[in-house]
Amino acid sequence: MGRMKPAWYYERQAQEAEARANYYRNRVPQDNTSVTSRPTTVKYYRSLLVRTGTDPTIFKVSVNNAALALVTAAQAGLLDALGTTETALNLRGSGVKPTKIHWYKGDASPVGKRTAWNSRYIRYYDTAGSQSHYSMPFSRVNGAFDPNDLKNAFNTLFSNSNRTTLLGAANGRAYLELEHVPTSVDT
Amino acid sequence: MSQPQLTPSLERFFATPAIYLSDMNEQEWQFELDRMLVRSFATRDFVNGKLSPDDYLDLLDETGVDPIGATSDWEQGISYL
Repeated sequence: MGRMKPAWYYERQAQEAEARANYYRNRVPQDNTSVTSRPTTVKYYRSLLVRTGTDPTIFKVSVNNAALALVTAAQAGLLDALGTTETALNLRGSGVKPTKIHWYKGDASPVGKRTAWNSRYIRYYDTAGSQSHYSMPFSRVNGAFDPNDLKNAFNTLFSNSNRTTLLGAANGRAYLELEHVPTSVDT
Repeated sequence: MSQPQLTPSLERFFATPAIYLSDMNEQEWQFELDRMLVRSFATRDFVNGKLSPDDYLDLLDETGVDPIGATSDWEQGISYL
């Protein structure tokens, strides 16, 4: 996969890399800043890969309230409460990384920005409101399901009027990250 | 595309989301979503070491991402999500 680039390109790359390293090496954090956590709500997530007997194992997850305001728990396939016979494991500490949807609303007129080390990038996301990037766990509420069911649910979620709400008129992005399970939990 | 920064998760860093453009119709968008999912599976396998870098870049090429542009962006610490 070769593509010829002029010498100045690599010189520029080296300069930028050096400037970036200098920036991270020398930056000084601000003092006495307030620390806030984004508010979350507890929901229950049915695992794609981990089984308890034949049923999907249920994990307790904390979901960002701002994300929940845009996509309801039912749309994301998360349970509000456990059934009488169901129990939930803590996701934190289990090593399981749930299936997640990521999205941001696009800005119809993107803005070219300069980094602190003088390289350029383009901001495509919408800056209105206090949060631009969203992510939340994604599953199915009941029954057995496979990745194909998740795919169909995902495609439905990001279609037509929903898509306009979530991704805006142009340049919005959506991504589905599939579940990771460490071998110790899997076997 | 967001400001280059140190990201916590490798899979999140290599994410190649479906991008909605204003001239897409519903069918084209669904096609983009399907291709995004193929990349998502491949990214997981790549991060887990089950897919070689060459095969991964070939797959990106086949599913609508310029692999040379993408590797160049990743080298500079730019993530697509």
